[in-house]
Amino acid sequence: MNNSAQVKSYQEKSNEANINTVFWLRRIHKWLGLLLGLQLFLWVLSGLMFNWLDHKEVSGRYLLTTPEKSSIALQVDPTDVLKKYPNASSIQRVSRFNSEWWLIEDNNEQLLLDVVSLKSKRIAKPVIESEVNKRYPDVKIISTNLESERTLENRRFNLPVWRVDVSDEQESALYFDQYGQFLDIKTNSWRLFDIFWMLHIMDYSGRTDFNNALVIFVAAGTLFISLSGILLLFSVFKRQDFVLAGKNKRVPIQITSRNGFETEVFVRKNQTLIDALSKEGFDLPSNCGGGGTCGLCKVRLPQAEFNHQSSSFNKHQILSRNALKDGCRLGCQIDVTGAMTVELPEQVLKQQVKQGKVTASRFLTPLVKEIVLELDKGDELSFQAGEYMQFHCPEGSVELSYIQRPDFVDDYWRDNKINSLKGVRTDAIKRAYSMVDKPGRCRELTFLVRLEVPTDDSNTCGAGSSYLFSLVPGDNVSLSGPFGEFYAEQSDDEMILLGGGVGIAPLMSHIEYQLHVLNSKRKITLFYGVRDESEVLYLDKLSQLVDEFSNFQMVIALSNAKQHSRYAIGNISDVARYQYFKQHDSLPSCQFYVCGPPKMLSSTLKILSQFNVPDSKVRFDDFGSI
Amino acid sequence: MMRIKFLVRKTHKWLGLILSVQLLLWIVSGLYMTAVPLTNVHGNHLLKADDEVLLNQYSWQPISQAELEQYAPVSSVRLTSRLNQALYVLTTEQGLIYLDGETLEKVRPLTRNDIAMIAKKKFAYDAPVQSAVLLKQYPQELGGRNQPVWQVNFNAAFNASLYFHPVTGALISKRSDIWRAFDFLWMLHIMDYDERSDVNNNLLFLSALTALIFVTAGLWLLFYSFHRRNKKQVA
Ligand code: FES
Repeated sequence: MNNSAQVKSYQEKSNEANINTVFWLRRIHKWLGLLLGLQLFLWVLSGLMFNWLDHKEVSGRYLLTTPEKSSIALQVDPTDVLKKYPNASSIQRVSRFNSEWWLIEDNNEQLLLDVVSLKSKRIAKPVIESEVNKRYPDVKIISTNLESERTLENRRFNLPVWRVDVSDEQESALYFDQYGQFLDIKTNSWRLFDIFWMLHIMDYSGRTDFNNALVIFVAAGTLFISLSGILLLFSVFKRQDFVLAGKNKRVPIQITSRNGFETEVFVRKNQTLIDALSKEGFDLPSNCGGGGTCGLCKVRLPQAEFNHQSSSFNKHQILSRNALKDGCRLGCQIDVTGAMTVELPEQVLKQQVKQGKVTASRFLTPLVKEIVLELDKGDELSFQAGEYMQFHCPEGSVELSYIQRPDFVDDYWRDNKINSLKGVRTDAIKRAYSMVDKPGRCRELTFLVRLEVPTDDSNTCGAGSSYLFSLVPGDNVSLSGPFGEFYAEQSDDEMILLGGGVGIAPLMSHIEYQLHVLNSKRKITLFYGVRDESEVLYLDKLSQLVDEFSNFQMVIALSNAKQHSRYAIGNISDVARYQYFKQHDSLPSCQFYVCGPPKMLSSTLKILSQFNVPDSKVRFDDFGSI
Repeated sequence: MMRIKFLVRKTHKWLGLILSVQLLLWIVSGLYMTAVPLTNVHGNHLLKADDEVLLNQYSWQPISQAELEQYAPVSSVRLTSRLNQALYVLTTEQGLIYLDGETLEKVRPLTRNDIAMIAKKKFAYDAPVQSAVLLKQYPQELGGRNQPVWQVNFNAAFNASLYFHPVTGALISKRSDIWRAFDFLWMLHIMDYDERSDVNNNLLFLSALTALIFVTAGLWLLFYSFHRRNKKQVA
């Protein structure tokens, strides 16, 4: 493989790692957001309120005047006081209410003493009120109370405390200690501020302790919201967001997925959706190169309207009516004309690009090869039964005559003029092939490839299949995936598998999964149709499974048998119908998995609907034969 | 419906870009301020429990009326002590006046040795005084008042500094890097980068208002994120 393919694969790998990280970041961001978002809102709101409320108004002191200090004139002799209060830690002579006092601190208690009697004095209500008049002139006193109970408003003062309510706009309350010392004024602005303060520090009872566990815990949580948000910025911003000029010509596509992934890309108008998405790194699988015939490029447009008369649905006719109703469309048939929202299958977002080496390539029949490849050192693919990979086939061409082949193949090829065929890839293309292997984590992957030969007398054969035919051990390949919807449902109902030709590939995977991984006891019946005896693939393996597991049975049918055979004769769908369906008493409750060429597929689906098998019980894979 | 979601998402995304740094700073600073106990920020742990100073052990003289007259008008007189002497502190119109309790003379400021000794006695950690500096004015971390103060620095307890009154030797304040970090983060929190105290500044207003729109948009988007799409299986 050349260098550019290597480089690309690294980019795609890092892209994949990125998408996984983004998933997690998004998950953290949104769950923590759900949990703590409201508090974040309250923090910002209360913060804004602190900013908006003028702190002068909140403090309220601007309402007050500073009273003139009165002076002391009497002799100051602390001797007697200290005699009476020998443990006093502070002694002060002050002048208050027109007379002089000792203000002392004794055993952490403040006392106001009469200078003559040295007796502790409490201040009476009228004195307090006259103090209020001095500090806050022209205002009416509503009430004056000595409070000895804790309130939210007096929480910072020593009790008891005088509270004087006055009639101003702010419904202010002035606080004095019991010796008439002014403490503070509380206004309505302060009260409002205080509520927001409570919300801000999350101390709902005391409103003072901002070292409480709740607020620390929530702040730590929001730190993660913020960090994940900042990291997400790197993924939500695209270069186009900052290119103002380019933006006008581009339109936004919102990409979503069932797993919650969301992003937005900007793409040019007037191209198909599959192309537009691929340029942004979202590769939809495709087998027909945008021809509208493979159906792999299915996406969902949540806003699409369903109008079955509209002729525009012709382009999407490969999709079932139900799928169309649900909004499913072919990505290759949609033109980007304006902003739109697209839901992509999870697999498209999670797809990985793998590099591997071919380890074996052998002919099973003249037109079918089994190709085994090993992923590069240390790499594994984990996949489910029925899933497929897309092979990246580079530009190039294959002369079939150059392909090494055993005699039985050579004879057939000469008789059927296959020798002279050529496969041409004018562009790099991708082709889908199902894994034959037991699902799980695998280093080794096995695929069945059927050479597509012309039905007319042209000399070109399938571009993809000829490429895969040309691979020899040691060749490097790159492939992406896994993709698919051909999953088995967990159930104990009978499983009926119908396969035609190389359509056996995903069915092998399903059978192995049920029998060897799940150890399922459910009944499993395989109908396997090929043209003649020589085309029966994996006969040994299947026979062995029949011997080993009593719940597994198999019917093989030959459509082109020339002589008598130990197998049934006829189309596989007819054989199933007459040999099995007719006698079956609970066919609609079975689960059906159908994979084969288009003709076989359509006749089988028709027969199943005749037997009243609901659509929901039928899974089919319609590319296995290509 | 889709249009609105589109708009809300766009708002959240762009405002997120603009605000990202400040939002992170708000949260980180908030986390520090809540997680570090306030008493440590205030530096209460830096001090030894006071042994009680009994005024009784010193001797003093009364201040006579005539004496008071000299400094009139005097609004209060307090008896306190420094080192081993009683001290009167008079509040006058010219400021505070400090008189020796016995001689009633104005006292001289304490010496560096006195201050270092007091500081050593007060400091709760066993560490030597690293430096003692008489500052002409309160430093920024003390509020910058125009008044001299002794700054005593220790090489312990996160670069603790104790501040003392030059005359009385009373402890004025204590700081350590715990406080300094708090103060710095507070500045970032309220976005007042010079005074560190004006909560009513315009920058904060603008940021908080934008943040409010940003968070509201984010909450709005939650509604969509948790809105289950009905899972229809397509055969
Ligand atoms: S790419 Fe094949 S149908 Fe769209």
